[in-house]
Amino acid sequence: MSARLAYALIALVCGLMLASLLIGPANVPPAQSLRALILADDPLMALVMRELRLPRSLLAALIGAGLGLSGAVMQGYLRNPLAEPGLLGVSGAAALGAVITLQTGLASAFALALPLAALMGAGIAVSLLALLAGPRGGSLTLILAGIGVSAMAGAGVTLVLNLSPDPFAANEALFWLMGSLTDRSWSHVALAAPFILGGMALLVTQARALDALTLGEEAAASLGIDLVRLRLVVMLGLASVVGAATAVAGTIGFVGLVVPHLLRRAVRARPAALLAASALGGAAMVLAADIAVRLILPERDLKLGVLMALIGAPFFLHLIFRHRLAQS
Amino acid sequence: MAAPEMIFANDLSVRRNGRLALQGASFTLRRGECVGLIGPNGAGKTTLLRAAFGLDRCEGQSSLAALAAWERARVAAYLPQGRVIAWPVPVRDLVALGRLPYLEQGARLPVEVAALVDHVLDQLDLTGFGERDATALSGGETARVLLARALVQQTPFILADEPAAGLDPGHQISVMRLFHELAGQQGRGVLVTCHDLALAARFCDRLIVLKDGVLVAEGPPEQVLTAALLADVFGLRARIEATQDGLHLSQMDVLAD
Repeated sequence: MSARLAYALIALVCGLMLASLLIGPANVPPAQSLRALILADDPLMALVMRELRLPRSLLAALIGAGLGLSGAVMQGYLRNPLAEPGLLGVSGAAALGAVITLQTGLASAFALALPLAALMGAGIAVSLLALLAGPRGGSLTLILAGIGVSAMAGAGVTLVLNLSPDPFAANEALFWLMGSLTDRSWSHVALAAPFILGGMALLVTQARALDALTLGEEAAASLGIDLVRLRLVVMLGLASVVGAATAVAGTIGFVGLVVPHLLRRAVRARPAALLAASALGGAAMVLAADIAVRLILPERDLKLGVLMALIGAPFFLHLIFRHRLAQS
Repeated sequence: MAAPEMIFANDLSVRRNGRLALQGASFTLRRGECVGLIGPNGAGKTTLLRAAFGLDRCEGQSSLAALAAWERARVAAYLPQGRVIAWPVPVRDLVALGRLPYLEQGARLPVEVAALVDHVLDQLDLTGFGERDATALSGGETARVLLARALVQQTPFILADEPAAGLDPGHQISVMRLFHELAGQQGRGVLVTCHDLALAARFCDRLIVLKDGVLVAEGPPEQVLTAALLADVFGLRARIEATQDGLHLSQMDVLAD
């Protein structure tokens, strides 16, 4: 990644982080909010800043960075710009775990039951993937296994909603599935951060392997890349990031697909350079969307996942259109 | 680690779908020689190259397959037949991927690599291609860019699977001549599969002939390429003459069964 792009993305993330801290229903002037955050001279505002807005902003940045990076890894690994982190079925399995706790009432009995169950779902999905795809075999086996796991988890979620005796619980589950960062606390940050950061650290170790894969699997192997290890790391790293992100925020699609696309040209398509750029870009995108949710319909609790697709999709189409124009 | 003076494969067999795709093939490749691997489609040329390099599971011993993957990448370069360039990266960056085996984890490519890449691009008649988008090249240019990647790897041995396929006649000759020079002048060991028997005869020091997964002949071109062998292995009638440019071979017709 060129220094200019890195600075621009870092500045963007910092700016959005600040905006995310300063915008909210409390409608307090920015200077006063920041004072409260740092000095805690106004106890109520300090509470809002420190216990509500700060964890929410941090989570948005963390989840965005994780999903952006995961998308770049997935596209590089499969050498396909259509790949996205959801392909492995981990987010689906995490969602199933969450929906089950909502339906059984466990989620309201104990605060962290939902994210923990979602993490467990993600863990089961990875074990299943490892079992299905085996110790050898190429990327295609992994993806087919992922599609299988994804379909199974999807059917599970639908089944739970289908058989739900309680329409309110079903409604709650449905809303949860749309993805949101509203009312997330430090306990969510504490739960998700180790998995997301750990998974990201694991994924970036494969940067050069992804670069080598530009030449195809045969040539990459001949350059000394261990493809079995690469597959294992991609699987574990992705599951850790995506599972944790889904556990605390619900399913937030689109980031992993679009962000690497947006930045690919800026890094001259180099898969390794795309990793850091996509992490920063993903953080910026989720922060921006989470700000937009609060600005557009502050009292209706517009869901993050909905907005992301609503704004992201047309933008994405525009990009493809422009790219096609440039080619012809 | 001192680079080996020769690599060998001993009694390699590869079983695929219950059928022996390669049966007990053995060869040695010394530094300084350019060896051509010839045979009709499906004879097992790629299978032998991959097995010898250690990319496929096989029975038998191979000195390259016995090395750790990262070590092997500094001893031998492998140029696959399938020409894959997945992303529109600049040609310069793609070619520089050949330096990956020498790079510490997370390190940046040293500055000398740029000069090396330019030099190899010049060698392959690709001067000025460095900044071009690697996915927007013609078939022949793609083949040469990928060959440049393998050359930049600067290994004592090169195993190349049909590097000349799809090139125009002039570039076919220059690529085969380049392999010949890499062996003769730079002392590398080259094993190259080739369908053009005339080119193989002219530029290879030694030929290995495969038929139905069995190594049927090996030796200098003038000994190996006989009318009987061409008829038996390739089903070809050909005229063979020794000229001042080396062995001259004109393929006249296919033989009826």
